Amino acid sequence: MSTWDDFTKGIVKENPVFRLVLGLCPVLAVTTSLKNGLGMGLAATFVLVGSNFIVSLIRKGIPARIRIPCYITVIASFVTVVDLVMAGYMPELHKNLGIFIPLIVVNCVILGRAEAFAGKNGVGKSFLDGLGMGVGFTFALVVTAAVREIIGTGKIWGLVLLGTKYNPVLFAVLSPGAFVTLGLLIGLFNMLEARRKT
Amino acid sequence: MIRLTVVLAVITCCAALALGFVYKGTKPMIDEQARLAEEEARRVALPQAICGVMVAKESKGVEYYEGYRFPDTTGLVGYTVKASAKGYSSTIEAIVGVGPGGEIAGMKIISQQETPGLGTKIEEVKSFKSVVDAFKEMTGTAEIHSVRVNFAAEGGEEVCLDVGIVDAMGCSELEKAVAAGDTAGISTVAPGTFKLEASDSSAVFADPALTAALSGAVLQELRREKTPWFQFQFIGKKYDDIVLVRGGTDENIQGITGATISSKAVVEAVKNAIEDLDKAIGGFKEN
Repeated sequence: MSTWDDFTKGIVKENPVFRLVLGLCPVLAVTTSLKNGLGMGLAATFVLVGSNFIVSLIRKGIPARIRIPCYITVIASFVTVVDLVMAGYMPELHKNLGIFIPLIVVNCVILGRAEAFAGKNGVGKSFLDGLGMGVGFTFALVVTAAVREIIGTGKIWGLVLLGTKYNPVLFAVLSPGAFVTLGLLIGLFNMLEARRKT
Repeated sequence: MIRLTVVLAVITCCAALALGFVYKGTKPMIDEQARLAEEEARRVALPQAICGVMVAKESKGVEYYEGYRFPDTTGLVGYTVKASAKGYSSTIEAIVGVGPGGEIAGMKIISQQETPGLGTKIEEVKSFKSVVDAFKEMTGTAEIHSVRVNFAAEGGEEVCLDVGIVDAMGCSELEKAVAAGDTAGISTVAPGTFKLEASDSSAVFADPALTAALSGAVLQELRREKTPWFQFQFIGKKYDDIVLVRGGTDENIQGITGATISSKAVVEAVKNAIEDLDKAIGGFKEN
């Protein structure tokens, strides 16, 4: 697989949310607004890139029997860094994302990439894999959040998009709306992928 | 076996060291954010003092703030005090505002880590509307793009009524203007009125009819929408009126379904805070 493929596979072909259906908890919970979706996506990307980088760097020194605790320690460290930096410099986003920042530790996309890719490949490839997966994850969060925010509030990034006469469909920003939006987006993604192949 | 232990120990030590540096680097900023959040919480808890000053006091081991209506120490409107109690999975901390007669003026929870979806409902706000949207809806005026409370020097009971619903920036800008002696624009607006800025920012207007519509009950309704519903129930109540029940009425506090321990903790925190304050100031005024 080429270097370019290592990066792009996470965005479309193996998009963690739309194709692999992984890490759905934050996708459903924090995509009530574009700001939150982007914030969570960037936080997860930082952790993905950082953990993939470190795991691939130290992989040869880690005995197979304790690889999972080692990976979790690395991932948890990066999540703590995100948590502290966000609390200090982006308090509003930190409050909005709340418990879902510490929960990045158990995001299966991150542990999954450490186990399936970074633990078996070199630093460069793992870095690109993490970056690609992070961009793909962020893309999924941003698209889901944008759809929900536009339908649910008539706005995007706080700016009025659908005019003052639009009657917001509150359902979209509530929990059931998250499931319906995500389901429709996964369907759309599958349809586009099927068309691309034929 | 020893190798496994050593490898894991080395990794955890490196992680701890790195996190120590990050913690040290971010601590001043996190402390500053906590201070700002507490300062804002005091204004939310005691909205009557939004444009006034808060003076730190300490008596009988209780730290509290006296809140004044004006940017000097005239016109005491109440006190704020920190409250805390053990909830279901965290210590819930709140700032409680109490009027001179012992009635709760407002409150704001500043720290809690309760169960998402259950205990966290102590901070649940039902309205998704922004302040400006809510004002637009209530007044039927589509052009409003910002709402600012106006500081009035005398007599206006409704001046700076609702920090919880009004952009606090309006006040700090106002305070700056007062400090700089630039009060020309301010004195032309009657006490208790609002300055509404239209989409054309030069067209600042103070329509008397609109002002009347925004006062009193409307503001109270807006505050109800923007304050977490559980906390809103405490406003106006005195110590003896704070009774937690299931399916409560206006006279008591309705607990959160599935989060009884968190609900009880907030009640306990508020009651403790009032007790502490009562002790510290030597008793509330009788109405």
